[in-house]
Amino acid sequence: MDAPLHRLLVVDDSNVIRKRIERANELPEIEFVGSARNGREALELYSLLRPTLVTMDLTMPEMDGAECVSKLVQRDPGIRILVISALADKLTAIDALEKGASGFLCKPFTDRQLNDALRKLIGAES
Amino acid sequence: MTLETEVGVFVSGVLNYFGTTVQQAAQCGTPHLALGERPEMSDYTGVIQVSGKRTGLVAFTAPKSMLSVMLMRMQETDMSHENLCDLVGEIANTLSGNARRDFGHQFQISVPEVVSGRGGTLAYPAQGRPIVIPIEWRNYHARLIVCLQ
Amino acid sequence: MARLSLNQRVQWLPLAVTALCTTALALLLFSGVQLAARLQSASSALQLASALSSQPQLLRSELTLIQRGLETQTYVGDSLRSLAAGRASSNHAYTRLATAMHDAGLATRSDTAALYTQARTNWQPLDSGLAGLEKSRSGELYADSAGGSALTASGTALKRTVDELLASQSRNTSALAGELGDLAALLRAAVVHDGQSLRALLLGGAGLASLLLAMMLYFALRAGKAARAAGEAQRQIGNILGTVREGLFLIARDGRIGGAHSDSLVALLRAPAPAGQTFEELLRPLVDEKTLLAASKFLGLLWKDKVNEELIESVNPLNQIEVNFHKTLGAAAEQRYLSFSFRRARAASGATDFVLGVVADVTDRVLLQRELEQLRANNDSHSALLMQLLQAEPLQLQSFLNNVEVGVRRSNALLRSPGIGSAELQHKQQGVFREMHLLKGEAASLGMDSFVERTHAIEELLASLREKSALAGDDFVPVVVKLDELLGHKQLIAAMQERVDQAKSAAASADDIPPEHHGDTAVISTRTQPAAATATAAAAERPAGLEQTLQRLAREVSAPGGRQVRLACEGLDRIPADYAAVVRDICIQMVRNAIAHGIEEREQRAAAGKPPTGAIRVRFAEASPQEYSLLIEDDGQGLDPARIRDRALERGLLDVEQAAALNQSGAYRMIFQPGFSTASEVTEHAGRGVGLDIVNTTVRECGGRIGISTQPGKYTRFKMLLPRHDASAPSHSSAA
Repeated sequence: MDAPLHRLLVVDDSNVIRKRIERANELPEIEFVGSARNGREALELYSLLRPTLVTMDLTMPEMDGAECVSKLVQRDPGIRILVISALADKLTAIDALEKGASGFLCKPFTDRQLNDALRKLIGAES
Repeated sequence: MTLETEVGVFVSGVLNYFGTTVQQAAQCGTPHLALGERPEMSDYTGVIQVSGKRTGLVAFTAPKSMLSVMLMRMQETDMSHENLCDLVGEIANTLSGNARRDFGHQFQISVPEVVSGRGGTLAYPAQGRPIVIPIEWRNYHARLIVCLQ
Repeated sequence: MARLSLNQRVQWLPLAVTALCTTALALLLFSGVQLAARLQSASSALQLASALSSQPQLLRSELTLIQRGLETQTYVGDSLRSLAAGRASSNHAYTRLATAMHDAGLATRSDTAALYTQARTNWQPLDSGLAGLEKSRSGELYADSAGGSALTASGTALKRTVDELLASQSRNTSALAGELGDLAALLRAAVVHDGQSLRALLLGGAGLASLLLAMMLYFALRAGKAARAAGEAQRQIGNILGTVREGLFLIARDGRIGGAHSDSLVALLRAPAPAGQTFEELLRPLVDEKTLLAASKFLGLLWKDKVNEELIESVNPLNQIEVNFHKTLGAAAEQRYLSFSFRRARAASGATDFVLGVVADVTDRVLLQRELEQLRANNDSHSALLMQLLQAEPLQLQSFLNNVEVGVRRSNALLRSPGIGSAELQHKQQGVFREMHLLKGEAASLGMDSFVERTHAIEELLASLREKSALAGDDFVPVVVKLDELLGHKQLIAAMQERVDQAKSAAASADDIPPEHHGDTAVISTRTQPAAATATAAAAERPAGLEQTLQRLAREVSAPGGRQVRLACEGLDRIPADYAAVVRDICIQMVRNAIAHGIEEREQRAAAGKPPTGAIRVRFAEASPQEYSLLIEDDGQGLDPARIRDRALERGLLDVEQAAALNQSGAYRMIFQPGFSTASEVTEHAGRGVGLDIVNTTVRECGGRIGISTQPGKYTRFKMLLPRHDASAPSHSSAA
């Protein structure tokens, strides 16, 4: 089976979380291509890296996650975005999903939960 | 919801953080009250302010050494001040988010704030007696401070 | 998915077969009609040809008749007329034959066409000859003369023409007859052939029609079977929808709810059948605007193929909602908790076709949870607290409140000490338990029910921890929260006491005002207490207060157990200030123990020949220049070493070997072990077996000793020796 390669961009204002997601990913189909610390940076990196998969924090300085989701989807309607956040308010999460994200993972999470979510995220298309 | 369940939510939030994020369980010491004194602050402290049904604060304070080892467990090699602040802030952030999930709209919870240095003080409510919950992890001692009225 | 395509095939096949058969049958019938038309033409051509083939012979005979008639001068008019008619009908027949042959498709056939042309050609000279004959007939044929009748000129001319015609056409007519005979034979063959074809065609048609009929029968049967199967499935689905407890419904893309839903949906939502409504309309009366908005948005997500439904379960806003139903005809107003969940239902194409909604009533679960929380929440009314305060003696109360503060601080200090090992946690648990137990005893003796409840609750918590095999620090969270609450309660009571004292002193200083004007029981009870005493409410308690406390305790503890007790105190007014708190704690504990474990019930005492009222003696004295002695004695059942041994075994304080080796004094020492209790039931007063444990610890902390002497069935005497160290004796307040 010739799985298509997914290019992963991690967006989170926490350094530690960004690196953790990068390291935790163990799916061979997913290649980590970069990380951004806020929405603005994510958009800049998008043009450069052309990711197909994004993990997105919601509360970030300089353009929050929901806005970034809608801008990314505008540029690439096929992009798959996993919102990762400590669930603050369901409506906020739903909002981000409405804007084009594909799923939600609640912080804190184990590496296994992250991988499960990523697997579901890329499995969703086939 | 009673205060003890609320405190319980924060305690299990911290323990859960260790269980999931660094995948090594932390232990909880016996909680006690800070009577007539302010709870001791460690090197890095993440604080969230709570208002609504109760007012007060919830803080997680930990020594630099402990946070560094946590970072190592997360395979982070950069032990800079920023990363340490980042981690303690992330823990407070997660507590805040989880609390909002469990308590619903009874509470308004602030964005977490990070205080570094042992000399710092927190804005405790006037009448509250902070409950201090020691968190022990691999010979390191952190504290969860819950002061709600 | 598979079922859907099967259904499609089943519908498509009979339709195609029927259409095919019908087309074939129509084609067959059409060519049959054509063939029949051809057959008709061919047979009329045959008729004509047969008729024509005899014509030349007839004409020839007529001509011969005319020739004879002219020779004999007889009348030939009839023959001439029939000759003309014969020619005309022949000509007509040829034309019709040509048409019929053309219609029968024989005009283009080479053999028939050739024969026809040949015959036509041969007929031509005969025809023109006959035409000439008709033309030449003019005027009288015969003229009567003297010599008899003779041919006129025209008669002669006619005769000549007839003669010539007969002569010239005799060969022609026979050829013509032959040709027409041949043609008729050919036509007959054609008719036979067409007839056969028509028969074959009809047979084919009949076959096809039967096939069609069979097909239709088959499919009708099959459709009936499928309909029956579908009906059965429908019935089963109906059964499911009728019995399932959850509300099941389908939501279409436009938000409308499908006609099929489980019966319980209507009951759960208290709304009429929702078919045709949108989900939003259904939900609107149940939830607030914000939830409604979140719910519609969430539902919208399910139509987005991009969204993974498993990855959004955690954000479902209808996971648990509180619903307030208004009073209706059928049901009372009620608050329920409902839980909605949603699943996509995919069609064959893979796109979401419907969203399956499931709603369940989770009220019982939620209420149970609430109830548990409610149980934990302690609410007591201020008026009850006030009554407590008014009944307590101010000095005792003051002292008690101090002790509460001290007890909580000591407990907290213990919790704060390092150590999270199981043994250390158990040690902390025991320590806090001792503190709470002491406070509870004191509270009970003062009638401070609100403190009894609180300390008892903490004891309960700690007792449950004792049974836990793996104790963890966070198990103490409820304990510390309750300690905090106890301290808060103490502060509240202290503040109230202050207010009460103020009221009391105001009442005392305004003695001339009649008590009724205060309208308060508080004022009446203040009469027993001098106002000046409140002003000097010091930490130290006067010994007389201790005796009162013990008397009261004795009454309260003995009352429910059916016992009668007389308490005699001695020397309590000589207790030095530095031992006041310690001796007080010990006395409260020991007197309670003596009643709960020592003094028997009245019947038992009577059976043993003892007076019905038990006697307890408490004596404090200066035993020597170095020591005080405290003696507490009861005339109850005494200590039973065998019972103590059994209990210690049962409690796991000893193993079998140790128990066997236990001598009498060892057995007596066992009763000071933490966790030992000889009272099998746990009540507020009998305690949990830490009473003597506390006493022992306290005495040791003071550097003192305890001795026991007892005789089964007769008495138990505890004698404590406490060192005199006038300045540095430990007390509650110094340990804080």
